[in-house]
Amino acid sequence: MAETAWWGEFMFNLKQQRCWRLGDRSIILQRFENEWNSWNLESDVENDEDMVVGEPVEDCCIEQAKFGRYLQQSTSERIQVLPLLADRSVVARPDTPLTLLAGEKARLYVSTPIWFSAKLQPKGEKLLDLPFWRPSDSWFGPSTRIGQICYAKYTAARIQLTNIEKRAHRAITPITVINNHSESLTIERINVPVTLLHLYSDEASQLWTTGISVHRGSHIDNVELHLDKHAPVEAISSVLVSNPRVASEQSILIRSISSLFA
Amino acid sequence: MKDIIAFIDLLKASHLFALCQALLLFIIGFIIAKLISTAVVKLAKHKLTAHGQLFLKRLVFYGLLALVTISALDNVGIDLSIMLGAAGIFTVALGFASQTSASNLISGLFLMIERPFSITDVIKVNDITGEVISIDLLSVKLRTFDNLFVRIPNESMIKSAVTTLTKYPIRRADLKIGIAYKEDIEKVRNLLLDLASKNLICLEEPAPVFILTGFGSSSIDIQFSVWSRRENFLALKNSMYTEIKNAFDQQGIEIPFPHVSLYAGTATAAFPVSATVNDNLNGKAEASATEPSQIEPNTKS
Repeated sequence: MAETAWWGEFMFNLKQQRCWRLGDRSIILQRFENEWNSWNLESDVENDEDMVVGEPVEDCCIEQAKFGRYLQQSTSERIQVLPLLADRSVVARPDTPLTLLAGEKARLYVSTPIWFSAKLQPKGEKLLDLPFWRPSDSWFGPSTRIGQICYAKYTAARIQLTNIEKRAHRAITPITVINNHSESLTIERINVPVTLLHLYSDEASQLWTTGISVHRGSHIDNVELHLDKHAPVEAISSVLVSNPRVASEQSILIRSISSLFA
Repeated sequence: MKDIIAFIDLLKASHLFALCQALLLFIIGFIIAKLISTAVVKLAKHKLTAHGQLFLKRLVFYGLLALVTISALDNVGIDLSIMLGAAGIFTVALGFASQTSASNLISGLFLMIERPFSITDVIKVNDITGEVISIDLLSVKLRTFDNLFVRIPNESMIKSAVTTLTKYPIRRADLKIGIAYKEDIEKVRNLLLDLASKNLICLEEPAPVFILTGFGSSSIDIQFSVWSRRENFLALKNSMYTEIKNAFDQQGIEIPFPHVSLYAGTATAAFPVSATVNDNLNGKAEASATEPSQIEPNTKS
């Protein structure tokens, strides 16, 4: 886990290249007078290496990368790079289905993938919005008619925080589930609405999202989804890094139980 | 001057003036109806679908046009009650004369109320698949994927089964695969499930389904069903078939083509078939192929 942040504001001189590299996975930006160029070099296997920001390496295989050109009348020298959460909800799955007994409370930790976002300063025009490793598509809902398209894969739900690997391209979401219903709640899959969550960074530059609390009432089928207003307590000396993709003024949302748990 | 005034008075006295007035009223009314219906749709643009917009536009336009027509007829001096009576008789006569059109018209109304599909949906009627570009009173217009304009009468839309391909956000692709009898089915099953889990556009849920459909004449037939977002349907099919072929080639899993075995007598060893090349025959064949004029045509047969 890198101790220094890979995001923030970066200055680009004319023809300067900068590369964000995670093992074989690289994203390169270069500034010209009238255009920005980007190279997106993907890799199949997600790795745990540290993020390195700097000049592209010689054996970078730039010709295999997806090339992008972004035209601008006169390019500015400042660019803001931010980590963002996924652009859809992410489905996490515990290794084995969990059963939360009636009247009990549990705290789960879910690690979700991060997107690389680059915006031009000062106007904030979007240049890039790419996942480091795109998760697989999935469907979450009670039937094939009702539900929503989500991301799955590369996600795991853990009860112990120590069981989650801390990586530069992942954010951890703490989820508290409170089951006040008279029946137990079986959790095979959890739908994490990451588009509604803020992103924080702790003192070791590990990314965290706002915590979520799910309250299941005594007799109703719907659940209350509480979005915390602050960084989770596990994130020590945290600072806000990015805002949610979808702004929500309400911090308590009512959802059907089938839209969150399966 | 007196002549002109006299001419205008004459005109006023005649039916021609009333007719011109009615015609003018109708034309102005037509234009106003057109403008108002367009304006109403523009106002409600963000709240309605393309289908809803078209429906609202037609409703406002034809409603206003009916009012204008009634007013214009009234202006000419035609009594509407007589007109309606005549219209009743006329409708019966017209109904007999134009059964098909009337049937299409009624079917069109039902289609608009039932709404099995909307504009921009992709539908399949009989063997025609295309995007709906217009739902009218008499017919539905489609644009097929090879960019042809197809007009389907509403009557046949009501009578035949219509499949809306864009109704739900996800679709299932059924991949038909055949493997040789000697292959390990469990190995193939694990390989296919692994390919599906690695394919990013293949949905993890609903989970892929592996169905052994039966023992074919030359292969064990498998149906492997995978889900994707409807816009990725073709991309998923293509990518999965390509990946399956590559994986089978790598793993040495045979995809058989129809085999025919020749047996002599009962269930004994296969009839030995061997190919021998006779140099002389081959040479003759080559000669005859190169010199066709030397071969006499068999005119008797």
